[in-house]
Amino acid sequence: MNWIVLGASLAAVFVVAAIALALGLGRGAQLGERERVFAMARDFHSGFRPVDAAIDGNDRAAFVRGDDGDFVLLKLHGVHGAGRYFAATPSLESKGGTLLVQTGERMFGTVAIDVGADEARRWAGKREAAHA
Amino acid sequence: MPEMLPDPVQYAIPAFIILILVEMLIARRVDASRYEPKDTLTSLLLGTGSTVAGALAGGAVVALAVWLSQFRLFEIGYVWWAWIAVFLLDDLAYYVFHRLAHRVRWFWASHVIHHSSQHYNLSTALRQTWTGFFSLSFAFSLPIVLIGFPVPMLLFASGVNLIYQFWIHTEAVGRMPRWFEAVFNTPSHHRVHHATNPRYLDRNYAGMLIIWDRMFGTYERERDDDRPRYGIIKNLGSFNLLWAATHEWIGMAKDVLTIPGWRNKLGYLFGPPGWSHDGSRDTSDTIKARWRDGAESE
Ligand SMILES: [Zn+2]
Ligand SMILES: [Zn+2]
Repeated sequence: MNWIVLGASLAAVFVVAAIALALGLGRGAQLGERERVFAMARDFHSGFRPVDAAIDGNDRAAFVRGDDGDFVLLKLHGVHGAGRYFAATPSLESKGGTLLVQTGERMFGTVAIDVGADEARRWAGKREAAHA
Repeated sequence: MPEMLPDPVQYAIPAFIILILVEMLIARRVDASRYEPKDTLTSLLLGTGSTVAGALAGGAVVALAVWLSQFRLFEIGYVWWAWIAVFLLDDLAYYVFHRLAHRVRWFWASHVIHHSSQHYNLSTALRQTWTGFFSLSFAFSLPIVLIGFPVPMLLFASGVNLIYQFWIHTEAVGRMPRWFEAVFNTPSHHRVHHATNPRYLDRNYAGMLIIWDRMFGTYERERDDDRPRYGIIKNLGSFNLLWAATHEWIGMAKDVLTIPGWRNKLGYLFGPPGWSHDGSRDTSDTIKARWRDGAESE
């Protein structure tokens, strides 16, 4: 392994990724409708029984409530959904029309779900209710 | 130092790139979601980083193997049956290492890189660890040196094993002929290995031959009614390269430093991935158990 080989390898890597981009691969992914989001949440955590979902207006994220007071958070990552399971209500906040779900993980981040002001308040209210 | 055989992996790299491009063209026609440019870039950069790490650590590993070979039990030369034996033994050593890599967090911390993509395509095959040296993956092959097989012969066999495992990382191939599926590791078998569906967790550890999984009870067949979902239990949700390469080591260090009690600390280091002192996290066993309970109650 010398510097020329390493440089050439890196160049090849970027060319290959650029070709994937030029071919239009992995574009236009969405989480989908309520039923699909429910199915994804069930797949994500076996035994999870979804009853309600806040789905992002741009289909990029969803926050799903289960009948056990548990939650599954899904966010679009590339063309797939990446998720987190919460046995109890995580930290929620409504900001304008957006519901913010904090995962407590720096690299996964806080997930913003655009659901409109009323829905955002309703979901964030669950936290107060749960803590009352 | 004994005379080394050529490194087969280096010669295979151009073929790897061509096959990736061919698979991309197939994906464009069949299912454009099989590739995602950022994911591909992450995989290939992780692969490049892995070769750098391998070059840095490889010398030390080879030197250790050569030094150990002075204690060999038998004098085995380059005879035809030794080639067959070394391929079988190296593949068996791979199976043992790979099984531990999924069942012991210390080894998993390094192997998880290979599973960190939610895609399953040929570029995923190149997503290889940077930290294999620290998880002592090479130690599993050292008994083969002690038996008396020449070190260059072993290195060549494990190079071929690595090359073999490239082509099985694809959704473009359905099933191979039955006799082939019975003996060799195939795209179908290895899709199961990369899947997070409870049924498929911790199955099909094979390198080249699936016979080890069949022999040791870790085999699971791919089913058309349970399509594999690829990745890890807690998918990263990030394309950050360094995070992919180090996240489990960092998580492990945090657990060991913050949770008191030496038993707990040992559990976080050498227990199964997901093990926790208070049972608050999922392991593949708890996931499988919950899934089985759910299937029974339905
Ligand atoms: Zn594995
Ligand atoms: Zn693999």
